[in-house]
Amino acid sequence: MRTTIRLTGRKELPRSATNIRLLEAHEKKYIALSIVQPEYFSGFPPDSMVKVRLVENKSSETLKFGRLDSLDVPRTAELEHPSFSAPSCQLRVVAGQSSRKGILLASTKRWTLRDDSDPDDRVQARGILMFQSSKVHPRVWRLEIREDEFPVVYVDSSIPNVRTWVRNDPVFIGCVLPSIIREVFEDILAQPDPSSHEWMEDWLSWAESLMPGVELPDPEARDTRLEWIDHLLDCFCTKHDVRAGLLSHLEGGHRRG
Amino acid sequence: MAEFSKINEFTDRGMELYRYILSGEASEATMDLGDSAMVRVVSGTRPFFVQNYPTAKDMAVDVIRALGPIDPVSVAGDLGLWGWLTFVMRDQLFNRDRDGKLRVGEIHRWYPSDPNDWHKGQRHLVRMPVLVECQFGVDANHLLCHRPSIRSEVFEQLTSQKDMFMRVFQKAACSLYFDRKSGSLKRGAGGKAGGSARTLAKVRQQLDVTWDLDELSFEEIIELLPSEFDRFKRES
Repeated sequence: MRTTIRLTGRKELPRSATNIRLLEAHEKKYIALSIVQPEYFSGFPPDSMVKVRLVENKSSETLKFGRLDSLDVPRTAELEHPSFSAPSCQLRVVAGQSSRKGILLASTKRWTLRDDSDPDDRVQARGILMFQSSKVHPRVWRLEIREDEFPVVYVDSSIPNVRTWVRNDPVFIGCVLPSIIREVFEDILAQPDPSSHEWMEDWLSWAESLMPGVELPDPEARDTRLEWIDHLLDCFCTKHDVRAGLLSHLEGGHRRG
Repeated sequence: MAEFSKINEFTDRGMELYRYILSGEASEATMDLGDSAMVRVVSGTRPFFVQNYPTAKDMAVDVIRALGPIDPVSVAGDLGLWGWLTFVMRDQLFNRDRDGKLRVGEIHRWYPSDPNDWHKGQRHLVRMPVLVECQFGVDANHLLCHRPSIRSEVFEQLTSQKDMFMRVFQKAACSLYFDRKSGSLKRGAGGKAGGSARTLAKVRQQLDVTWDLDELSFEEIIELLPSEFDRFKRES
């Protein structure tokens, strides 16, 4: 019995209500926050506290940006964990002293915050797979599947123009991406109720668009799950004609060589 | 006990051989810890003497000391480092069968997964104790009071959600479940009954919807817990 726990009318804020960016300067990392849609904050007491909670690598940090009424100008806070490269991020508005201290008044959903150095960031943020430049040497890339956010592919920082590479390189699209898709769906299909996770639901919708009408496999039947994933990869590779792209790339390479 | 002038990490080849060895496909004798093709020194680290650690906490404290200026969180993704530490401490972390073969159990107990992996990230027998000790210190006593080879139910439950990596929450849990007199967990902390760590993990999610737990003290968090926690509250 947990009747003593009171649920509040916590408000869900859209991510677009604020602009939160991860910045790096002089080997330090900062979070910059500005309110871009103040109407979403108009109902809260002026002394409400605005915070950003970040979690990565089994480590968390909460940055305090002060009272709501002080946020008419952008604010910056330094990260204690400079090793954060793509932390899970959530904006939180918390009751200040004038109302019941500690009550959560509003929050956003979580999303993955990445550094702001790539102007293509906004386009990526709308995708179902995130890419982030990071030190993953000796590997070239590393997939990370998170509980309640879109999967992230870390690509070694020695590779220039990561987001251009992953979008346009036929080797990546033909050889690496199918492997990532397989790994993500092995995780999704092993869940008893994948649609309860928002990001998994988006991935399933994407799969449905590639192979409409194909039902999800029984999560208990491994062979059926693998067959389903194989079929999905066939559809993906057919749609994007990955073999033609790869062959053209290889022939181009031979000519250049 | 083995002694090393600094902490090392496995190279790619070292990690490959390490994986073969711990999965029983190669002999332990095939690993030459002095071979630069297999290992490299982690610069800035201190001497490391492998000991018979009574608890996971003792092990974590010693690893943190030997890492010196290196923040363990910043190297959480350096798989070669955690692989090397596991290998050199294998007799502290695993039992052996009659034939002397290591009984290592599930792969991610010894082969580090990506640290953010929400299924497997917390299973590693060296990395996770080090990460929780460096973040929470005495407030992680309830997580690390068992032998290094054991992953307790309390540990499993109270590291299973990303928002649990918060000092005030772990301090509240430590106060509830750790018996300072005996240096061990209170009876029932790892069970399935009301008030156990398993229940706390569920209640924390509910509280997190209503409260900003960071803003509360650990006493205030304990006060918010329903009556099924009364037994542990009284003893805290």
